[in-house]
Amino acid sequence: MTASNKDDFLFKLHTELHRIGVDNNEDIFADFEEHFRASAAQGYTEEETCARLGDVKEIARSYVDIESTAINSILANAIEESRPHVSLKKPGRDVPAASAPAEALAQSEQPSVIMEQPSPIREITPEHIAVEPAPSSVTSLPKVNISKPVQSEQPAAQVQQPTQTAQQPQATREVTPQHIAQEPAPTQSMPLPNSTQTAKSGSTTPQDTRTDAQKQSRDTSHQAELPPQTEAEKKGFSFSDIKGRNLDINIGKLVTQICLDIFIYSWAIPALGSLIVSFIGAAVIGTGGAAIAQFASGHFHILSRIFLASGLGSLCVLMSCLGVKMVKGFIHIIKSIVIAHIKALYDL
Amino acid sequence: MNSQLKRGTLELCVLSILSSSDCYGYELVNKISECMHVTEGTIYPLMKRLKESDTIDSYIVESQEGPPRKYYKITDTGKTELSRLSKEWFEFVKSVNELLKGDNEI
Repeated sequence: MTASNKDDFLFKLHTELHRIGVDNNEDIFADFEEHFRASAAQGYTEEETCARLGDVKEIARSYVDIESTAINSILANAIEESRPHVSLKKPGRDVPAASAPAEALAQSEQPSVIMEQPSPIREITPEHIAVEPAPSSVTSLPKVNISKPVQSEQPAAQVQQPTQTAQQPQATREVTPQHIAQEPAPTQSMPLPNSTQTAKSGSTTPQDTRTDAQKQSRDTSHQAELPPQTEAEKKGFSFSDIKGRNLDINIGKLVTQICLDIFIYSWAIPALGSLIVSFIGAAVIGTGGAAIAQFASGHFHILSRIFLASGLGSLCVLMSCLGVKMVKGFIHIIKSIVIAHIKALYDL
Repeated sequence: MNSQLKRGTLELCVLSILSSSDCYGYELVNKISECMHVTEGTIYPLMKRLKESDTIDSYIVESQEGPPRKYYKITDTGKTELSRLSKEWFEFVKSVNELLKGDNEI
């Protein structure tokens, strides 16, 4: 996929990066914009520069490889251990130094430790924070807590949520252990040696904590939204697959994307289809109805009435069955769209 | 070429170029693509990775004509890494050469 000009290139790159879950990529674009400028100064056209830059997909993938090298290698190894049938995209490109402790971790089955691995690469922009829901509790806590925002960095968390406390009598008691549990998280993850990022992850800031909390909140919010899917899609997907896996995705964009897909696949396309069908159907029913009306107007015998009534009755039953099926189908489509997104994000 | 091998070689080339002088992105891409066939766009991801592993660093230089440029320079960690990688490289090349020579004699 080679682009034809600068805007096309940047657009495609943006799309590709977004598709594979790399956000906060302003510096990436800045690099390429500078490249285009420098190339233009040398007398190259945008087409030539694009051709030399090469395949946009390949470029975007290279960024993901970086991500997986830096952050997800431990996860990748851990998942590979526990799920042999999952084909990871690039198992060969993990950091060798990180694989040994990762295997050890996978064997000891402590996803919570892995989950708290901070991501030093990402920066949380104010926009990001605004879009993301407030950080919530760790996954292992009871579901009741999932919707309750907890400001992990601020010691005043308990005071800030009087309404929450009123709704949930246990809230005050539970915030405290949560709050404490969040704080040591980065230090807990420190011992995980990751050759490429030691220098950066050494300086764990409250931002890192927030990143973790946000990720967890995203994971848990998914769980809160869609518990019935686990049964519906047994063959390919269960939430235990993604439990504890970190991906830094803008939740707002994700939800928008899902809503858009749901709109297109379960509303726009069926609406168009039903419009066409209803035109044909109206023509058929109109013609048939006129014929029946003409036939029945003169001699409308009691037997005809019975036949007509039973016919209409069965039509009603048929229609209601159809309605139920349609609703089921609609729900199924929504489920599969959401699951497809999650699977794509987590590369399952 | 095998992509893993290529990736490692590219890393070595970037570090080696930067060890002689600081470069801005386009200059670096040009230097590399002059002597080997690469998808130029993939050098930027590589730079990002090197930067994240603290082997190189970047700084902004205001230029007279047009907007500021991002220059890359090698760090001390990078220099150590470079000497390690080049040692590995020469050993690797030497052993491959010996192998190939052996084949030719037969």
